[in-house]
Amino acid sequence: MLIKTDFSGTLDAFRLQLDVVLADPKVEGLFILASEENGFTADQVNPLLAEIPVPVFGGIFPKLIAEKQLLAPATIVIGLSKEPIVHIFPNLSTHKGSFEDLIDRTIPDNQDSKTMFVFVDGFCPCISEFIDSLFFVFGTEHNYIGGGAGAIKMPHQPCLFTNQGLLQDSAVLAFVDIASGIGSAHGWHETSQPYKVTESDHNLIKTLDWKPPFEIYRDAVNTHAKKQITADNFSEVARAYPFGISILGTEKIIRDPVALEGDGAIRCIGEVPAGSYVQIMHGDTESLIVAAQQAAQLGQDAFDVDLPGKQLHLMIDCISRVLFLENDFQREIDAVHREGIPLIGAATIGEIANSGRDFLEFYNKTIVIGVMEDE
Amino acid sequence: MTTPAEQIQILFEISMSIRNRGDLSQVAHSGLSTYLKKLNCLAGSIYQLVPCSLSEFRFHELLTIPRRTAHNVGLQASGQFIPQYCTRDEIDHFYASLPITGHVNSNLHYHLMHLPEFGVMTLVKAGDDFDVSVIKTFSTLNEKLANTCNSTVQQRALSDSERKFRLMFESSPEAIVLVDTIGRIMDVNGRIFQWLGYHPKELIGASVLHLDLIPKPSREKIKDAFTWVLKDEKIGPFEVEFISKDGECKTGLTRTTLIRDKNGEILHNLVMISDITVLKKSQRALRESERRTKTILDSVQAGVVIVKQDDHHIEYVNSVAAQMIGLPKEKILGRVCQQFICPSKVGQCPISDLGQTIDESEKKLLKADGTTLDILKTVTPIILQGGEGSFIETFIDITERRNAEKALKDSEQRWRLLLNSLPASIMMVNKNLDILFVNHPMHGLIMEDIVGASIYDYIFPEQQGMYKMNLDKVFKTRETILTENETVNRWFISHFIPIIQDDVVSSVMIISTDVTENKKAEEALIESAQMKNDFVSNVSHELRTPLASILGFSSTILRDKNMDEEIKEEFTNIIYEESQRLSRLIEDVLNISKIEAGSIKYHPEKIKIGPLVIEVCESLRMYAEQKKVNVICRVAPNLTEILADADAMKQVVINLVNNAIKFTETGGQVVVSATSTRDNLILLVEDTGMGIPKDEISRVFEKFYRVHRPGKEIQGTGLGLPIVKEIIDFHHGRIDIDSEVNRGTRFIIHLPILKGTE
Repeated sequence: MLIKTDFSGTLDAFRLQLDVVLADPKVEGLFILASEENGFTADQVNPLLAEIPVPVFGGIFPKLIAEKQLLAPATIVIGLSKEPIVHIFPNLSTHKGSFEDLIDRTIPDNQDSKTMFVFVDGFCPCISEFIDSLFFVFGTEHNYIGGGAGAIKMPHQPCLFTNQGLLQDSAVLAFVDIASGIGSAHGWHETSQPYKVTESDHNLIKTLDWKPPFEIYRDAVNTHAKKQITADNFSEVARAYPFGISILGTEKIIRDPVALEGDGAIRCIGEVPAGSYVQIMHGDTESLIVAAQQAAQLGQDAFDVDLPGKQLHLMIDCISRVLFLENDFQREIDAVHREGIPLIGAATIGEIANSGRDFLEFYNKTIVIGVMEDE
Repeated sequence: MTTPAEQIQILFEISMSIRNRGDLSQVAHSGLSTYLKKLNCLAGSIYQLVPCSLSEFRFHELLTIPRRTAHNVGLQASGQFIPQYCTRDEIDHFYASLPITGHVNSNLHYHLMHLPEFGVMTLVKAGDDFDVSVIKTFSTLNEKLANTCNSTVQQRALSDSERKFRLMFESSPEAIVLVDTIGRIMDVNGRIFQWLGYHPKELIGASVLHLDLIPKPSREKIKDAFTWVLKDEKIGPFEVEFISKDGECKTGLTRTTLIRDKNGEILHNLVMISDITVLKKSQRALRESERRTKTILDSVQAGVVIVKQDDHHIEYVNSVAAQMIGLPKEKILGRVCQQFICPSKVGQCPISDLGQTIDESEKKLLKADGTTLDILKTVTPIILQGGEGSFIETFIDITERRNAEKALKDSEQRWRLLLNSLPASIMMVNKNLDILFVNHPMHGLIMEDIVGASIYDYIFPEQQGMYKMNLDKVFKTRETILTENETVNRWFISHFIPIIQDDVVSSVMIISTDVTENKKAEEALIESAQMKNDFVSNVSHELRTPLASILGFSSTILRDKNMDEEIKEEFTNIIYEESQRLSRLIEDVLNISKIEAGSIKYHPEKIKIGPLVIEVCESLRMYAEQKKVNVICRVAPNLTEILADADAMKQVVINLVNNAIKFTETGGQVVVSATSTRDNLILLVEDTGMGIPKDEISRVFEKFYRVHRPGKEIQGTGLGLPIVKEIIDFHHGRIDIDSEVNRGTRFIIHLPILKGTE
């Protein structure tokens, strides 16, 4: 893989990066990561994307990770020596019918690629449904890695790189025939009793135990937190108290409460199905960093090819962890970094990971480490 | 990692997610995907047990997640335990072996579990396998999933059945009303809305005995019907009037049936109503139509009978027909039509026997009193109500018409004969000068060829100008024009007569009469008058000359008493000769007059012409000698006798020989010969005289015609040769003339020999 990182985040630098990477005749496809601070718009980027002669995928994320540090602004262009097979699923939120049928119909039944990169608009309300459908079609035939794209400062903007331009409310899948091992962990633990999600609409929890969620959430958090949560400081306090959904024999699935809405409803990143039980979770720097180490180890364990120097580590880490850890986030980077192995990544709005051992999930507040074959 | 409390919570979540969703595949998908998700499994399948035959079953793969399982070794490993086709015992045996837990390797496990009364489910899990306590709890979940699947199947079947019956109920062509035992409407089908305009919502719950849409008399009818039905009395369909929402009156044929439960208790009264509004209307319309038709048929001024196609029996007779037949209607109905109409044509009906589709012909009608009427009859096959074949026969009395037609035909024929026999051509033309009529078709054409053609196609080009001018004038002035014209040596007199209709000259009749013969006769008359004038003049002259001689010489003798005897004798001779001449002249005139008047009588007898010829020659010899003309007479010996009047024949020879001497100058010669051939006696008189010009030879037999000989005036009456011609014609002979001017003339007479007299 040919990796070119720009720290300026300018359009000219991006253009230069593209020129340099595409000049390499071995490059068969591009994987692009850009930070939201670059301020790239569709008008600016689309002409460049339209001229790229090889398949493109990637996204705009709140922050990037490269050179052992968190970056913004920044742009990372990765030239792939294996041609990615890219499929785009536009207008997810307005799609009528089953995603399972759509995916099955769209993607031919001959994808032998080992790894599937999955990037979705992180503000799309039906991400979990789409991700579940991916699993219902493909199962564990591929390793999945990816996450939610978008800008937290300017949500609902085009954020996915494709040859068709910068897209919004979409998903882009890239099948790449490279070996990989995926590990994920979050480090959050329960601080409350389970509550039943009695009403929900995709990623909006409407009632918990038939009560306004905020009432229950507030009471639970306030018994634990030093700082009392209110409607005004909800975003600030809630980042340390996500919801956890139980899965038998594995870590809870984390749902990040990001906004308080009318009638005390709480909007999360990722869906919270009605009928499921949720608990209020909490974590600290140490638990999160331990989880990062676990994720890196799980990824490494799952990677079949043991060829030192021929690996690339892709770090997909939730932006809410960045915000929660603040300056300690560097410790998380350091925890996953292996000497001599390039580490690139992004702070995402939700994470996607699976390496054949678990049900495919859309995670929140989770760190995913993809150990990738680098020819 | 998962606490027992969480385990219970997870299993409870799974249990709660298993719900009847109305569709088996949705229930299965929802259930299996929740299993996989909450139990963190990689794959799973649900198999439904379905019968293949009465005794054999198989496990139908209802659902597998994920869809693309080509490389899923866990599913493949668990699938091998599932029997393919099996009996109930084999299935029971298989179920008894469940759950089956196995692993592909230390990291991949599978579980095959029973879904009671439905089938089996497999789950594939990676990593740590389920705890034994968890596996035990699956049976409850599985039972719920199986029950939900089964209830979905049953509900679907019930729903399908209900839908089917509802569909039948709704799509029934009849309006169906379900009424309870007190007359309250429990349900109605959509047909009611289509028919009466009332929505089912407006009717359900209402009592049929109080509905405004049913008029009071009909309500009573329904009430009675319900009463009878509830008493288990069978009642047949009955008609009920309804008022539709838009106020229209409708008629329904109503039947009621009781619906009972298993115990025989009455549940509902099923009322089925067929819309017969149109039928009733059409029946009323039909009756009205029949009445109207009858009225029309009775008022038609023609006889009308309707007879059955198969046996020709009369089914209907109108008043006119009855009157024509001379019997009351009731005595005609039921009888065979041929007793009255076409009485002699039994078995020859043009339609039923001879295969015609319509018969229109003139026939006889036998009246009841035995007399007959001429009728014009039309027969048309018709199909009456009920599909019965009949004939409608209409006829009118055409006796008067026939008489009138005959009179007209006779008249027309008379006129046509008259016109055709007229010795004139009659043509009628219209303003476009198209021929409307001709009495004598020209050029061998028939009338149809000419009528409609232009008149110019049938008149000579040189006549066209005259015709156009005259026709234009007649059409313009309405005056009759008479013209005389000549065409191709024929003379015509044409009348252009205007035919005026509605005060307009509609056509012109041209009557052309060929007057050529008249014209010739007229010319002949003129010539004859001229000849008579000439004759009178000649006769006068001829008479005057000898008379003058006689008067002169006789007066001289009387006056001169002393006249020398010799002179006196000479004068007396002259007087005698002139008297002779005068006598001959008068005789000739008398002869020709007799001949012309037909009063002369010939007395043919067997005569010998030779002596007669010699006698005449001798009698004229003195006259010839005076003129110094040599007369040679040659008569063949043994000349055959002919049958002729001797005096007439003598007259012939005298006239010819006398003429020959007269027109032969001094020194000339006249040869008279008589010979015979096989059939004819040939009498020849030949002179060397002045001859006759060629163009006058044909006229020498005309009375009083005299050959013009300028400067050589020779006396004569112009009657001699006509007399000869008359006599020879009477005796069936022939005269030939051969003459050349200044060389002489030869007259050859052929007279038929009397056969058997040689």
